[in-house]
Amino acid sequence: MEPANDIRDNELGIDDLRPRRPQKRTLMDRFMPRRRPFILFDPDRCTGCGTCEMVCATKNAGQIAPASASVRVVRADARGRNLAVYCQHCRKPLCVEACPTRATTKDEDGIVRIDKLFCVSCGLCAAACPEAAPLRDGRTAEIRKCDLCEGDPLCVRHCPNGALVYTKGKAFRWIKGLRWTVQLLSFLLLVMVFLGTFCYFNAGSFGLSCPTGALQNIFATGRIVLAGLAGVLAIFLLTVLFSRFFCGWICPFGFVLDLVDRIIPKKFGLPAFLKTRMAKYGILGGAAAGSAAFGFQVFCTVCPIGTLCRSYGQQAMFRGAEMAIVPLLAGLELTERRSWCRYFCPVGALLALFALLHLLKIVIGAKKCKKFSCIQCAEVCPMGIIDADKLREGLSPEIPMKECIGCLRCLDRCPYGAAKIRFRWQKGVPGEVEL
Amino acid sequence: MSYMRMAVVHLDNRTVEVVTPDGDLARESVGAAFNLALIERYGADSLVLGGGPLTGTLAPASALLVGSFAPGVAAQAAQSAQSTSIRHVPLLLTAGPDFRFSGIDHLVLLGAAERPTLLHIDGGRVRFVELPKQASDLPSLETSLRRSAPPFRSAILTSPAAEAGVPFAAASIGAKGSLDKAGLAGAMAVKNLKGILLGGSGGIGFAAEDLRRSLELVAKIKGQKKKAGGFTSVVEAAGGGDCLKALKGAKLRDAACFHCPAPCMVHAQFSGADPRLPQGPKKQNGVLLMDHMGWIALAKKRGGQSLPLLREALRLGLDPSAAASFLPREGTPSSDIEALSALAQGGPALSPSTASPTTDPSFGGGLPPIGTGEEARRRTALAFVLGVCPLFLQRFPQAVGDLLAFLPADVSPASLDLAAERVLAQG
Repeated sequence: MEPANDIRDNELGIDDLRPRRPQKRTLMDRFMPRRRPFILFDPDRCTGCGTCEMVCATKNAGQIAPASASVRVVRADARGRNLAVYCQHCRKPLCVEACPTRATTKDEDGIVRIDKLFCVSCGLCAAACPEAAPLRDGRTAEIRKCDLCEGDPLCVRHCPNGALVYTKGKAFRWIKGLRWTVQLLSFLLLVMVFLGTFCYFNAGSFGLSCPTGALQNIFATGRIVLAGLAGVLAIFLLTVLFSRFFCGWICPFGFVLDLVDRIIPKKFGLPAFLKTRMAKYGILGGAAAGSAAFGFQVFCTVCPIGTLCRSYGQQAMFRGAEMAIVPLLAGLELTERRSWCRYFCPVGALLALFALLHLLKIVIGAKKCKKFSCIQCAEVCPMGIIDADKLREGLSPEIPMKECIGCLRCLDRCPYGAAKIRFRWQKGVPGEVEL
Repeated sequence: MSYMRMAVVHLDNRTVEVVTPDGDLARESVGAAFNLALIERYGADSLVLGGGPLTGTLAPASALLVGSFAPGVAAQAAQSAQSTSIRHVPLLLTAGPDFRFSGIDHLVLLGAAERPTLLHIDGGRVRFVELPKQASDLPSLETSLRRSAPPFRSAILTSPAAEAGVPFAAASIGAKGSLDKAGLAGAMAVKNLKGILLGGSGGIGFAAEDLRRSLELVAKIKGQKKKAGGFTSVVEAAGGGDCLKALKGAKLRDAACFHCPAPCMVHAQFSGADPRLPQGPKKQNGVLLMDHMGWIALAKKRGGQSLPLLREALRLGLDPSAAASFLPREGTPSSDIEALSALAQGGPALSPSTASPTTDPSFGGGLPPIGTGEEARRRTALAFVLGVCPLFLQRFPQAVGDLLAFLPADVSPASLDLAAERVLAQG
């Protein structure tokens, strides 16, 4: 062994000096994530007076010196909208990754701080930050960054127009609460109370049936049962009105997937060809063709929704093999959230076709949101249809409503009010002015 | 807290002296009154810029920088030739605080540069900076300065119109315009001074109680804000109430100068095609309505077309009031733009459709007449001495007592009345 190698092997690295603290995420965090504090900026209220810069500097530098502030007001000339640049205390801060001396850390309270003892003012954090929030002090050339004044930000207290608000986010997300309640009730009714309700429900002369089952029935028998079509029509109308709300709010298997997603981690990837999301239409076509060929509803035998409704619950008949289908397909959650719904579900495929005629749409105004550091809408979307890259570029992503399950998680989560429901024909997105 | 550090710039031989003024002079005169004293000391040829003791402090609306000059300075070029008294031009937005954060309280400009000159002030030093390539308008000049000059937070620029000898040119803060209707741009142009860039990387001290005082005073002012009104009230007080309908269809957003809790300006965003292009696409434009009087003059003449015309006037560095008076009685958007362009180039001579603008040049000529009478004039003079926005003081006269609490220890409140008297007498 050469001596030079010996020396290299024995060298201390930054990991030895200042090891990275692991991000602990408990099971409780998965169900009830901790609310982290942040400052909310409303550009419509900001007059560009620069008071925030001034008072921030009084704390940072002991002087009225806006160049030493941890917040900067960018005054836009053409649009007249001012922008306050300050640390957003990102969920996954790039500055922490970029810091070569590990001076920047995200602490347990969610605040990203710079330890002056270790900071060498190299500016890599500022270069890595999409908001360019770490600011170089105009006098001392040190890097400064908002630390939320340890819970009582001066800028918020002094902002004369209330453009800055210190918040821990919404205390109660009512859409989330409502959705979980509806999902739980639907599950109880469809699975636990009424056996096989989803597949076919008959009340006197009125019948409701699963649209995919009805389609397969048409192909299998060559006859159209008008009573069965009532259910299809009802779901069609509701889908046109509220998009694939069934998948997001009613589907019992979707509820199971949402629960499973909370528990099991994402370990594997899926093949790239599935990303086009066309496979589910192939399965739908295959189910129709198979039904025509074999004379019975082929897919219904393995349908996870039908299986769940038929084989579990108090009246279930415990049909041995069928019971394995639900955990088997729920195991797909090891890859992506709602991967069954995204790529395979033929019921969802049929509803997606109905949803082409959607009346309502969801819009996300990139100009209103802090797209660089937040992107919570893209993270919470179970169908993965919000383009985070577009948001990072400052562009409002177009949301394909045929893939949207109308769960409204994006609306519920967005702290900036940038996600809204609009009619299909309405133009413009939040934050973009229409004159 | 120290106040009073001044730089004397000899433009003809490109030298700078940074000096601390005499104690007696500094004690007796502050703000615009100190500008007056400097003009008396350095001669009528001097152009003086200076803030007041409250400029850039935690006192609300502490945004004022005053440009003072004797009319003789710009007699060849500017409309200041109309009277003989010394002119004080208010420069608002962030120019005042950034001036003080650059380490200088007063700047005396002497002589005239041989070639077009640009000054950069920061860290208590004044430097001569190379000019970027010739720019045809203020936005492109500011853009090229941002690219090539040392970093700066604010800029006081003169315009190509002033260099062309147009008497109705106005100095501009960046490309946003100003309340200069008294010939500051001409005075700068005569000295061959293209602009003053304010680095603003330093700071000024403050008393420990100032943060609390500021919070309390802002809360008090917020309580009175509804009564005092904002942009609309100022326009109505200036006799432009009927012009407000010209803003229909524009998206308005409040805009404020440095640390002002009661904004009186708006940024108007409007959509329209460029009238210079025969079939140009419609696009969104915006303009800051800081010069209430200028906009009112344009709106009285052209109604809904006033916003694009104001934008064009500011782009060319023209006083909008003068531009309005030089527009023909009737005109299309494209002919109006051409008329402004011709005015900015100094010819061909346009015959004004009305009499030549007869703006009262005292206090820059651009302040909307909110208060009337001697008391209002005294308040304006006091604002010029203190370094706070004169409009703010007119709208919230009861705040004067509270503002005095922010004065640094080395400024005696007793000297303020005397200083205001001097400004009133000579301004």
